[in-house]
Amino acid sequence: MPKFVQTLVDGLSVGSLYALIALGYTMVYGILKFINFAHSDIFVLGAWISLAAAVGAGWSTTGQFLPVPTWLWVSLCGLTGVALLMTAAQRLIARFVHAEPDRLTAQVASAGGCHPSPRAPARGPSVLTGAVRGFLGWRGARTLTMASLAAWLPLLLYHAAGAVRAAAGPELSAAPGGVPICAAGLLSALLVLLCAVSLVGWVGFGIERLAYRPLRTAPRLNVLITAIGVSLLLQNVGQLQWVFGTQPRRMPSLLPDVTLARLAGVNIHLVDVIATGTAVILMLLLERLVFHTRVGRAMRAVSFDTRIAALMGVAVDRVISFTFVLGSSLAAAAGFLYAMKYPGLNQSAHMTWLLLGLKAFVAAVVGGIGNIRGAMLGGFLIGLIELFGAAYLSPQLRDVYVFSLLIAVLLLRPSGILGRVAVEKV
Amino acid sequence: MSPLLEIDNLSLSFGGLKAVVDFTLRLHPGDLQGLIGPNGAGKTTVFNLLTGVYQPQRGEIRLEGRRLNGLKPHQIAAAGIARTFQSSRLFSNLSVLDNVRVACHLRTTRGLAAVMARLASQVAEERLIRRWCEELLEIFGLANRRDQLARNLPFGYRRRLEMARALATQPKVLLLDEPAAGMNPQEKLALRELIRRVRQQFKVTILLIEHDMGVVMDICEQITVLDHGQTIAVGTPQQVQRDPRVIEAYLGAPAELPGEARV
Amino acid sequence: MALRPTPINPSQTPTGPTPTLPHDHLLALPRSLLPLLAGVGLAAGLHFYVGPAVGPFYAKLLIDIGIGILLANSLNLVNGLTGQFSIGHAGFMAVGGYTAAAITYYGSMRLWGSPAVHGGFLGSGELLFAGSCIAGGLVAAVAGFIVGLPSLRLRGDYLAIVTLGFGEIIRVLLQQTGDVLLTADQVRETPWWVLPTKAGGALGFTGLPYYTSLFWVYFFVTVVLIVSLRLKHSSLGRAFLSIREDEIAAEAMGIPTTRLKVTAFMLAAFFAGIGGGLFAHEIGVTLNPQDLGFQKSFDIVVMVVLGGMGSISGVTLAGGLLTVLPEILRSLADPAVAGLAAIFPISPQTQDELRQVIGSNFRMILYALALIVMMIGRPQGLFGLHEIWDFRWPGRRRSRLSARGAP
Repeated sequence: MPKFVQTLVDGLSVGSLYALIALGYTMVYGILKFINFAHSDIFVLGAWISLAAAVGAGWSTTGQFLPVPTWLWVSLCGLTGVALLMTAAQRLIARFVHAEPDRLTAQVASAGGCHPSPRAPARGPSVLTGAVRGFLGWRGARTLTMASLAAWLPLLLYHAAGAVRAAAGPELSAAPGGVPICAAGLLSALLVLLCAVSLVGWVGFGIERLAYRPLRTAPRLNVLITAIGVSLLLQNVGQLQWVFGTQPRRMPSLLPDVTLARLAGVNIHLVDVIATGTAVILMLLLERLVFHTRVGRAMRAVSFDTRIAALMGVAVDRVISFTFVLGSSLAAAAGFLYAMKYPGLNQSAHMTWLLLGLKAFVAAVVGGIGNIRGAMLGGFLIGLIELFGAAYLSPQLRDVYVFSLLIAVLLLRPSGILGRVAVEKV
Repeated sequence: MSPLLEIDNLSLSFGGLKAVVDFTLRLHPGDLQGLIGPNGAGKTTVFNLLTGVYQPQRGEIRLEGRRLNGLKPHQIAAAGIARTFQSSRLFSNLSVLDNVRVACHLRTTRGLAAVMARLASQVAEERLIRRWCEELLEIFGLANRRDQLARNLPFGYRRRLEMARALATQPKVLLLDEPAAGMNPQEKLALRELIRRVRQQFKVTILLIEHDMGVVMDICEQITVLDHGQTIAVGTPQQVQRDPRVIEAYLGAPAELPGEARV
Repeated sequence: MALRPTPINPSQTPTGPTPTLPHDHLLALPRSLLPLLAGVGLAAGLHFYVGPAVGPFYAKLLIDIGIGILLANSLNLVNGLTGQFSIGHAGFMAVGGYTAAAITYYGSMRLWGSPAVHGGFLGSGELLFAGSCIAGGLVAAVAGFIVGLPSLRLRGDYLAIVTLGFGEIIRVLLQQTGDVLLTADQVRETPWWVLPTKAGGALGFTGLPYYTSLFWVYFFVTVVLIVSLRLKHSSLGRAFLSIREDEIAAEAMGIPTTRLKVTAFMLAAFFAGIGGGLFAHEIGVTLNPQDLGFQKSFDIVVMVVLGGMGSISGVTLAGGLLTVLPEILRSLADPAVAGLAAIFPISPQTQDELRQVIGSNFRMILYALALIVMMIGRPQGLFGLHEIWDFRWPGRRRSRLSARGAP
């Protein structure tokens, strides 16, 4: 009996993590209709950034808080200053000088029967001039503003995490019997999580913007190849000496090692409860977001038909970016929780990460790819099957069970458990 | 004369939507028949059922007495039914000649081993295919565009290539899905001539879907009218033109004003 | 229910009677074998003259290049010609490699009492090796059938995942195998069907004889090139290409898409299996499951994508280039770092790190960036569907896919 309960607990715990990652796969597939191979590497990135942030915030054995270097603060202030200046300049220009409308505005205006300003060029500018002009114009101002805001958030969170942790005292990590329960400690852990999530969310945004958006109209095969490229890039950049290195590292424990309850002869640890609980809470929040808010409705509209959604007034580009950020944030959270539960992190190109990502993808497919509830269901299912197989059949073949399930599902019901059968119009 | 293609009570629904209901048709060898109806009437669905893209839920399709239900599209093509598509589905990155040569593949007899060993029979077959396809291109006026990539073809030629490709499979029945779509009146006149000539020269039986009444009335010998999946009229062009149900389907019923009795 | 096709009949149009196809007789065979004999001659030349002349290091490099070309062309049959996305190709290498290894090793033990290299050029040992490679290819082809038949019915993205998963399953299963038997007596006592399970597990299949030579590598390279070229310029090849272009239209034109996709898959797996066999018996290589994992699969995919999916000359070029890229990078590391150090002030420690990075990790980062930039800028790769002889060289009329014949 205890073995059964232990396996059940572990299965649900791991399954919740699979579910979080699977959500990212399924959301991207739903709106862009391709498998984002790089998603599992976002998860790995989340785990490693959590480690880096935790260690930096003072959770290492030395208890030292590594503050953000001054030059980073200065450059960030400089960047923000420049962004604000540019925005202000653009507003002044627009108000006092009849500026040339940018190309899109001119096209829309002329389509509506209005004529662009007399100073509009007869020929379009060259690519270089266009790029420079764009950068100095509204687009540049907007990009810089967003970039600087993006950079402030994780840095501030990191700083806060360190400050809170310092307030709790350096002996926190060195306490015998693990970290004692302490409000400042928990708060600091939460801030580390938020820092990692915000940073990785922006990485996801950047990937979509730079690598996937140019291929919006390209054949699916090309996007798949690009996704593999992004995946390889993330893995190998993560392995560089100056980033995360090639050695496995141990995530410091941020939570007290407390046994919460004893159920049928099995210890239920706080870590498990927090990991599974956080995952479930995030999934419930996502469910609420997607099915009960306007933004969620926009996301679902784009997943049904991108062009029609655009015609209905949905800002498709923004929705897609938002979906990517959301999926990446969930994966980052899963990475943090994973690091909590299994503190020994391997280097980013290691096999274990690939397998985890694959299994999460299998979870998304089994549940019905493109279907959010399906991804959640699939995640738990895969977690349970893997752990029960490992416990009762053979631990070495745990991966084989999961892939066999994938093949079985693809043979019998390719659309997954909760998926809709897609019919291609001939 | 026994019918070439017999379609009996063909039916298909997508969930609750009845796409095609009890479609029945007889095609005799050498016929040129038309299938018309308002948008969404189920015409392309009938084509898809005939070519095996969809499987009928009820009904039978028989070609020269052989039952075609349940066969895959490539098997139906081998049996002798070829089609063109409503939205042009050419092989964009292949040349015009290659597009047509692909359609000859189903009649080849030399397999992988012969290809790898480059046997004399395989080389001869290749030459045969090339000659036959070049003749086809001559007939369709595409000979000087032989090496052009299909995606670079001007629009008017694309339709012709589609037809040439379908005919390269040496079919008994040719299904044309809106061949006149996007053509100007001059091109439509040429198309009518082309269809007649194709029927005569290649000895195929043709069933075409078309919205342009000029084309349909001119060349079709018999017309079937569909509306919401149901067959509402069958007959010669003149009969169909005067059928009140057809008029109602296309133009709608006369409006009823309150207090006025319906005439 | 198979329908026998009627042969091509140009009498449908108003010209000429129905010609019949000529019969094939054995005397005509030498003409079609000519390219193969030429390739064999080239391979022998490489083996006897070039190999000893350039020394063992460059000879091994040439062998690696040959294997790379073989693998790239094998994947080209699936990813390039047929347009399917398979990314677990190294799994077929593993299947073929281990089959060949088991046959050579245990076969040698049974026949001659020791696994060492037996006999000279084209001796009984080498023939056993060649046979085992081909057997490896056949077993890999069967694996290709098993994997391909269910998954090729599905959409493209799914095939990618299934092939990736297949590669992983093979790796896991191979890691479970038992220790390699070391003495001839042990081999004699074990029943033959148990022998393949003694493949060394995660530590690898040690003790394999080094049969892979320039001759055998380039012999098989010749075969794959001849098959690819003849296939591409035949009706069957055009059928593959039509599947890549538009599956639904191809099916409507009578192309049995699923059957052909599986055929392409099996053919690709066959050659990958041979490549695996050659890889297994190479000097300096210990056959182990980790080396034939997703990393290797990606390497091959990059070769095909960069070379131009469908272009045989393109993937051959890319296969060769990308095989030597690690060596180039390694030899460039020192001068590059020295050059950078001359311009920027870099500490010696950072210099060491830079040197190490350029030598190792950088290759993968370069690959990744190359893939991304390629897909955004030039998705058709180096040559697209064309061959290197299809381009408009100065003074040469531009020819196209349809005009060019096959060797």
